[in-house]
Amino acid sequence: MHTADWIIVALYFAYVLAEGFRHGKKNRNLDDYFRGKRSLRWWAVGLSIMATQASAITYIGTTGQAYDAGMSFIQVYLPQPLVMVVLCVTFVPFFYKANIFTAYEYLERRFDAKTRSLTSFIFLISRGLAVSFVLYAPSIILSVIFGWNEILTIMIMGISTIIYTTIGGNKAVILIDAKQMMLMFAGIFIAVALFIVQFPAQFSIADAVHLAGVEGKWNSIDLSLDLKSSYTLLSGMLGGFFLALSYFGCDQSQVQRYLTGRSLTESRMSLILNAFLKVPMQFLILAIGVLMFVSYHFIKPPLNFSPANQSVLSQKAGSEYAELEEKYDAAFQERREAALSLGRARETGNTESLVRAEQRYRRAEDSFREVKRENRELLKSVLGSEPSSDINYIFPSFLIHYAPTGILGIMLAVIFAAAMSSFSSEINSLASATIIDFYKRYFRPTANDAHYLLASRGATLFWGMFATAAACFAGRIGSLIEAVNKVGSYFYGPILGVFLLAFMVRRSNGNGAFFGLIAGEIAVFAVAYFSSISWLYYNVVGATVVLIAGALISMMRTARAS
Amino acid sequence: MIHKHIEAEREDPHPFFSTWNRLYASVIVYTCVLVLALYLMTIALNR
Repeated sequence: MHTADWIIVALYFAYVLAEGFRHGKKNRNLDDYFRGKRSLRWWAVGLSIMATQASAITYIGTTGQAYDAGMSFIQVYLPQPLVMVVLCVTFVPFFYKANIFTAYEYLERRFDAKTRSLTSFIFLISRGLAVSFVLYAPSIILSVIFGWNEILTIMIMGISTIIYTTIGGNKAVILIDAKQMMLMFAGIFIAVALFIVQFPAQFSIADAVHLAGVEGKWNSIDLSLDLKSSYTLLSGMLGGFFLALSYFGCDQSQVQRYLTGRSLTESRMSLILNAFLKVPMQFLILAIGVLMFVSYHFIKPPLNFSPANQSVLSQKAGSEYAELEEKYDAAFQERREAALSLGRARETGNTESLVRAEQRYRRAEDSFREVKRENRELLKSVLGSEPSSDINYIFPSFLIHYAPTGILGIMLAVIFAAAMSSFSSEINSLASATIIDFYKRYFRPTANDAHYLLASRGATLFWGMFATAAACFAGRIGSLIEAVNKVGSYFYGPILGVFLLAFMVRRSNGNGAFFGLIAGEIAVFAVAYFSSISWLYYNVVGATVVLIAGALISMMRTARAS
Repeated sequence: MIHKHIEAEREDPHPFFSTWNRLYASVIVYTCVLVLALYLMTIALNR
């Protein structure tokens, strides 16, 4: 990396820390610290909501996924505009008018203390364990690609974020998030330009679109009704709808963003901003992956994007791997020529030559994939187990090899911004749930402002240190972290069900919500264990069971009382 | 009590679209247009 790139990254870190200190001076009480005195504008809150959702993996993993499998992932995001409308009509006015600090606080007013404590506890456990992944996942990839020390990368990101979040509170988090989100938007357009300039002079953007189409990369909509498939219009619109409703409506890391709006109108507007921007943003991020796929027809991609895999193969299967590399070179050259001839055929406008060029390209692509498959088999035999996918390494690998000086620094700042904006919002929300739902509720209900402010900073520091430490050790407990993330999706649906019960069933009560939540959890675990439907549908099952069971239990209780 | 607050708030004018319902309708139309555009893109560009 050039000195100029390091300077850009250093300036980014200096700026976020300075902003944290600047806002930290204004915090006097819990309202300042967790809700920014409910004084924030809709655009800042809206950008913060987007920044919280978009982690570094959105940039690194999603682009790699589109490189490999095309645009189908976009379907998960399609219901988000509709979710924002539902939130504006129901959740946001309920929360805003109730003048609460956490989403779970509302449940005590509506039901009882045990329902509030259980939902908040589930949030703390699931989010608290998963938050370390926000730091760990990009750090492991960046350290492998750039040769950095993994622990040092985690510590720099973690400690900087802890400092500005602990000192500045939620207002600093939101205002910094908003700027980080603008940087991320800039990063998207820079990346698009970066890939387009890799095309040869005789190969146009229209040729690139055509080439990606021949490989089926523009598969944005899949009308299949297969319940086992995660990326179809049905799973996206149904499962994705419940997932997004649960995430934006019941997860404190998001609710805490729009509770800071200057007015109810400003809070709603922040969600409407998301309704209009989120899908186009995700489309562009996936399109980066598709453009990267096309670019790698003209610059040779490594046979293994993961340097660790490459090094294992070189050391343990030297001659076989060298032979495979030779085959790979030939397959790449043939595919490059086939891609260029496809572009030339398009220019002629002759259908027959276009069909022939497409056939030639498909044969070349098949040969190319065959070498990749042989490489995977060789890797499997060397490792003695199924190798993990290296799609997460594709985008950073491109940056280190082809991004010009200055641009590399900006793109690294974008990746850091994406990771840190999610991490800051999450540790801030974990602290608010800890202090408001447990410490203030059960241990110190009547302390003064200075005490609560100190306790809140302590809780932010605790969660930040806990997550950073967990990320440092995640290499040893990697499978556990992954399991926790998967299990986390089991809780979203049932928690959503409790809130829907509160809003939609007027006669529902605390026992209905509490036991309905337990019934919903049992149903989700049973479906996950006994069926093979996509995980996106777990949210639908969980929310529906809680709603029905909760309503029935509440009615039984009411009938007995009368 | 809370339910009554929401009924009242829903009638507040929206700064750009004059009514919230008009804004919500535009978001729904926008979603339909997105799905349709992506579907057309899929069938037009995928070969």
